[in-house]
Amino acid sequence: MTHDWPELATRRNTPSIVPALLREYGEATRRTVEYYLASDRPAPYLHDLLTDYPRRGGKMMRPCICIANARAFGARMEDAVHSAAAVEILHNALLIHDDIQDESEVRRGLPTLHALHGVPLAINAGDAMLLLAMRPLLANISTLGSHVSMRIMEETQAMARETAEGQALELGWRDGNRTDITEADYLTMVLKKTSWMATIWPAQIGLLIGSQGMADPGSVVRFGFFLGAAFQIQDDLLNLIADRSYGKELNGDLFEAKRTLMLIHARETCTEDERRTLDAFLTLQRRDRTQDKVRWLADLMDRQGSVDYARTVAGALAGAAEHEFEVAYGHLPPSPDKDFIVGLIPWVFERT
Amino acid sequence: MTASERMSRPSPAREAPHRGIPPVSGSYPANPPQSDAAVDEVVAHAVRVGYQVIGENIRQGRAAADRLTAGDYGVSDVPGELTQLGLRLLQLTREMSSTAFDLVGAVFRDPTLQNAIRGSRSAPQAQPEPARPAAGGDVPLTCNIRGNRRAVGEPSTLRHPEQATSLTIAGLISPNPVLPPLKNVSFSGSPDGRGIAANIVVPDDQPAGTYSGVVCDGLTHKPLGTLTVQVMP
Repeated sequence: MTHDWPELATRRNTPSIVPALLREYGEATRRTVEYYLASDRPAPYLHDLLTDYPRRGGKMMRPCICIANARAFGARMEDAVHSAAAVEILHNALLIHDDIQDESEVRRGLPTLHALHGVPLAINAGDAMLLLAMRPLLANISTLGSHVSMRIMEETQAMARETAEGQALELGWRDGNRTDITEADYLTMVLKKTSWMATIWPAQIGLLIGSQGMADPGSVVRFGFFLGAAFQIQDDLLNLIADRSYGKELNGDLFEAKRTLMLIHARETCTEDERRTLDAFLTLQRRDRTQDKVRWLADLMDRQGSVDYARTVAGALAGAAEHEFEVAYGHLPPSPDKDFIVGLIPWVFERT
Repeated sequence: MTASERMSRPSPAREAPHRGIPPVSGSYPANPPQSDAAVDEVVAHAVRVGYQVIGENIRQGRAAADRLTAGDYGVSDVPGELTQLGLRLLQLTREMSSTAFDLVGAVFRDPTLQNAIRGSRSAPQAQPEPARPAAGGDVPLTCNIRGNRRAVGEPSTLRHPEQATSLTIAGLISPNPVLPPLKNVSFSGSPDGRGIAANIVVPDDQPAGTYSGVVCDGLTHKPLGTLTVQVMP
């Protein structure tokens, strides 16, 4: 089923500055991540695990948001690259733990860390990365001064709380087999679990660095939320429709019974009989959710137009992100970094 | 920014105001959107719910900030479902008082200390810049005795330097002029992150006695405090 979408960011092409800065800032961040994850002495069963996910690549959206915000607000790249490394290390640490909690099998096209090394060693590596991410933030003291460094730590603490609450919501809904999740509940979870760490926090750090602690980090929260929400819905859509280049398990979210917008919509709009079948599916353990059962759920979403519905919602939220971009960044002079930040909105829909 | 550079939102497809926006309770059209009007309805609903969600989160954040300012916020407020990540970061941040941050920041500007902290590797692209003036107040000074001799440092405090600086000390001198001074003294952030540690090397042949010296601001040479060590027989 197709229909005309409103003329939102989903229709625009990604400006060339987006892939260019993703490459440039991403490479600088990778070098810095390697530096902070390096070990002065042999660390068997640990060092290789620490560098595994970062070396698999990734689009580096989060650290690039940090650096671009810092530059848009007046800083140099070298002022922000340590914080960008912290963002990337923390992101990879949480990926390790997420993969264990979700029982995921594939990450960035390869087996997940716990699938390769077992759960205990993977948890240990994730723990170590969480704490190692503090090193570049502490290094900020010598380059940015204590005031800005302290503000960054405060925002990091706030992000950690929001992210953990979001993850708890998602896990709790799934483990408690909650079927009464609304769209507002879903967006609350996305705000906490995804937006805060993926877009809001990196932007806030960059803003603090660029403004030398003078700008209000709250000014980018709304923009970050809408961008992150569009990003997450698109990520959920890719999980349903993408090919192998996506890098995660196809239909992995269905096997995990993740409470996505498509699942919520399909359950709300299907028949009573279908709802009973769906609820029975949700109560199963992951290992009991067979390919046939997952295919039935995918077909249900297709019949109910849930994929198109989610696309439309994502486009709407992208439009809101464009509006909030003007509010948060409109006063800044034109710059490639400003173009990059707003260019992320259409990029969210073009990535594979 | 010129008018042509301004971003503008596209004109809406609708020709009249919507009057039938669904409630924000989480329900939405039972059928997928099939027309422009239905799409507009979904868009309006999604944006409205989005603003409601972020508005509520910001309200909660402000309430939490008010509580933080009032000083009654603790780990007990953290929901039970929180992972170790949140707890660890809360603990880490709590341990870093802003005073310690300011002073450690000042000490870290000492090039010798920076090299020592970084070890043989140099941090990529680290470019020290002028720091903000540090806040006022005294900072704890503790002693870290190195060597085989038994010695005790007297805890004291240092006045906050007026700006980011390094710390200097000429040496620790005994009131008895015939006794040699303790010359190997350096400074670092204290291990608990709450002040400054003076690292004092006491040679094996150092005579017993009391040794004192004045800790100065490396830039202004103003005295910030006194360091005293007693070397036991």
